[in-house]
Amino acid sequence: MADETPMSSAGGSRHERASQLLEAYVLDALEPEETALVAEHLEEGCDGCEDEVGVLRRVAGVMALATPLRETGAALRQRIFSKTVGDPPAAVQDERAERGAGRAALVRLWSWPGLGRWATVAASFGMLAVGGLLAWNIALQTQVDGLEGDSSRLEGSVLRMEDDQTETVQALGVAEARSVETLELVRTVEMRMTEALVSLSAPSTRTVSLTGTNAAPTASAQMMWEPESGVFVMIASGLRSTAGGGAYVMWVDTPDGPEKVGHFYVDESGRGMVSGYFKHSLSGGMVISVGHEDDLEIEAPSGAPVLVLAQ
Amino acid sequence: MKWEECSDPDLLRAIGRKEAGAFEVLYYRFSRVVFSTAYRVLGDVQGAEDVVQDVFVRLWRNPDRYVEERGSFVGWVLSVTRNRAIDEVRARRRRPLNESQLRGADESSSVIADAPSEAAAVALATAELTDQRALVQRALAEIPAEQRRAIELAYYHGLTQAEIAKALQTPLGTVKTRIRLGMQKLRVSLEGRVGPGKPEGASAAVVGKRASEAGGQ
Repeated sequence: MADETPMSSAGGSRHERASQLLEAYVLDALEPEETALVAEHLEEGCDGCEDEVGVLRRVAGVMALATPLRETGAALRQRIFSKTVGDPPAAVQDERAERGAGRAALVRLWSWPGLGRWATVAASFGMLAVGGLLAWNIALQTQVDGLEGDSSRLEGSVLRMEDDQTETVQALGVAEARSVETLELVRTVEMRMTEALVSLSAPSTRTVSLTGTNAAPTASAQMMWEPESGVFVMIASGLRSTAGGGAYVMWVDTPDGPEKVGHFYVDESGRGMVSGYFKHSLSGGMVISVGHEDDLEIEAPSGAPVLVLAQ
Repeated sequence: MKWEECSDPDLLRAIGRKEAGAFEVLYYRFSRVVFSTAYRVLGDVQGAEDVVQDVFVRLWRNPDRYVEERGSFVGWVLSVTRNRAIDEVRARRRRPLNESQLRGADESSSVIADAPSEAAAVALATAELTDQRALVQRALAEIPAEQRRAIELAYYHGLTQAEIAKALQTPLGTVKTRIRLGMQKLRVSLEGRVGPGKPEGASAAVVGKRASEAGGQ
């Protein structure tokens, strides 16, 4: 094929020459004078070439989608988030200026849905803790209001009230700091969930069903388990809430006896989730069970299971 | 409202209001492809991470740089990433590519060889992105290897057509033809199928004309 120099078709119109160069133009593969020629032509307002460049740019843009995928690290995420959304010192300062700062942090947490669907379930555990903080903050606020009423009637109590208000403000500061800590905790949970989900996307992942026993006939659960890494996630529903205390513990029977592989809490809707890992063979008569325990430090199930491996 | 159910443009509008949750979801959706693209161009983790940081910090500060009417967000953000990485590579370079890169042994890191061996552990955030990715991989696999190689040398290595011709010891005219034909075939395979909707002005007549040109040569 004959070698063409960029200007060899100089006899043609500018449009003709430019329109031959658009594919290479969007790849930045032209020589500077060719790039200039195309740019000038586009500036002339050639709709046809402009549309063509738009389409080719979109094609070039998505081409990179085909590139081999690599996982990004948590450190990078942290670095980027500290430069964008997560600037905790500044955020805390802003909120401190508001009354009811603890509640502001809480609202922020509620409206913070950057979690995957699964992680949202995990986040709800954090919510339980924060819910307590809300109740506390409201109680503190009520206390302040009450004290304000007292001050109008009882001059003598003014000094005491001021002391109490100082304490209240300090308490709000602590509550707010705890809210921020909880937020961090939720983020960590989300990061772990993402890692778990990545492992569970492997083709070797197995899905296992668990069914409720007579002790919990409405309960059922699905578990995804990747034998290579041992990572699992289990989502259960139809269980009694753990709001009254205790937690559900997941056990795997091993030759050495039952092994605790995780525990979880169940919200008002009866749902709960647990993730973790264990590296046994499920095929060799493995027994998985879930039971309610008041004490998480026990070494073997204390009562009858509520969920067992479906047959 | 749940951010993970929002479209990319909706997330960007929310980021304009400095909604942290929207940014989290956008990062979750796109950080892997952005990083992988930058890594493909630069070949080192540190450099690629710097590009990812640059891209996402800019997105946080100026989300309105993306104009929905001009095409899908993924195409746009990967263009920005690629351009940013190529700038870096050009700044660093002036040393020649190695033999394997030139001869397309680069394909060990290319989409074609990659599909079966890709680490199963790395997944994309959404089914939609995964589908789009498969579509693009198929489109690239369908064009002749020499055309793909010329395009990839420009796209991932920042070489001009003249540099590609010199490096491959192939006439410049041949390189130009390969790039034109390859890009037009990709266009026919991908247009209107990747990213939301067919853009305004890309009339079927133009596509048809280009397609027949591409097929006829």
